Amino acid sequence: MGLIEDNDAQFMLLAGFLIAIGLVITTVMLNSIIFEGNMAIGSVTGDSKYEMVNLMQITTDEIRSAYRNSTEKDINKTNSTRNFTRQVNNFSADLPKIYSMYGGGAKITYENWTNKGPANFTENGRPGGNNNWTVVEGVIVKNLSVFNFTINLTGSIFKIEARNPTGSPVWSIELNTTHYNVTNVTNSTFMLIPSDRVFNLTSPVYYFNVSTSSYPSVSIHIIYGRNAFGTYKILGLANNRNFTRERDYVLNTTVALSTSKVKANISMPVTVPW
Amino acid sequence: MAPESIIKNEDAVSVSIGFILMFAVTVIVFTGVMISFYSLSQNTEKTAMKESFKILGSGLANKITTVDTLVNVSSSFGATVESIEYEFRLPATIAGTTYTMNLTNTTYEILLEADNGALVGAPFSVSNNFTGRKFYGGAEDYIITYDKKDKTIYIDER
Repeated sequence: MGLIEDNDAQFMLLAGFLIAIGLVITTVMLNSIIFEGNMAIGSVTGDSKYEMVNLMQITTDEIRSAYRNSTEKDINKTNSTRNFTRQVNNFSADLPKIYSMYGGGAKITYENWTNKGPANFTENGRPGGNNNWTVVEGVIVKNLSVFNFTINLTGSIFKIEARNPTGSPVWSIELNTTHYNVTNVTNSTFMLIPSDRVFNLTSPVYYFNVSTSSYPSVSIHIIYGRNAFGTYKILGLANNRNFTRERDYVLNTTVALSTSKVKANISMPVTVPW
Repeated sequence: MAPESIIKNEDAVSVSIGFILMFAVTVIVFTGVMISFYSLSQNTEKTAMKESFKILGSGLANKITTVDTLVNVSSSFGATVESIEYEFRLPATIAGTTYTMNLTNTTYEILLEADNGALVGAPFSVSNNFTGRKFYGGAEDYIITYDKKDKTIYIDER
């Protein structure tokens, strides 16, 4: 009662103060509401590229593994392709289960090597692949145990070259339709191509070891890879680690990934066994 | 009237004049408050659009880069990309205002612009060919595709 009847300005001051605070609070709240109301909802969805890369890598690994498992255990081609198909089919059947956890789907198609010829000597094994490429670097020659090529020419010239650590050629074997020519830093040898077209390049007749063993390491390169097809196998030590470079076939594979946002279809050559 | 008498005078204006004065002051203050709220909301709208443009622009740049990366990674496997489709959705309006989206292949930038002057650029980087496009407001569903024939990334409305 006393407060209402009091004619002094305390109540007025208090009311004014409360109104001022209320106004500030309302302004700040209104500002936030308007700002949030106007904001677009920008959701950055998770990337699918990692799933796709993962799918390509595990498919490549699985096909190579299946090839090695089947060919190493069974020399019979029919049995080996059957075992290969069985292993890859199991993998293919499990893929949708794995990718369903990510809310997507995955599918692969593949082929076996029945009725398939050897791969081209390009980087990816396909006729249109990289013509000139490096097979392996840092090879320690004294530890090179296998260096075999089976070569069939489709063009006029094909070349395998060894280069020293500075990149200078120190040895090469160049093939034409009838002859091969081995060249090192001191001389050159011109010979007929063997009838079975198999080149065991660690053999003394090719002068590889004597031409390269004085260098701490060499790199092995293929030149004009589109002009030839066949198989190769190189085993040894490079950069103090064991390595295997081997190619028999190129198996055409497709991988497809589908999520709610992304659909990708990629055809991928898989070189086997490595 | 002497100055002393003004200080000591405790009379006020009449009730009518007092009411008019109070009413006028109230109207002026109320108008001022309303105008300040209006300009505040306008600024907030523009700021909100800019912030939204930043989010949308960087998100779209991320999606374009994802497609580009997929193509490049596939090449590193010796693989060929037969098709990639990346669907996404953008709001048709932001803060009730439509906007334009200009994707340039000269400066590789996504420029988002509204009529109220809000303009934001989001840079992106691609190593494959990219076809620039300008989209005017209204569309919501878009798709990024890769054409293996001309090795180009396209973006289009669905």
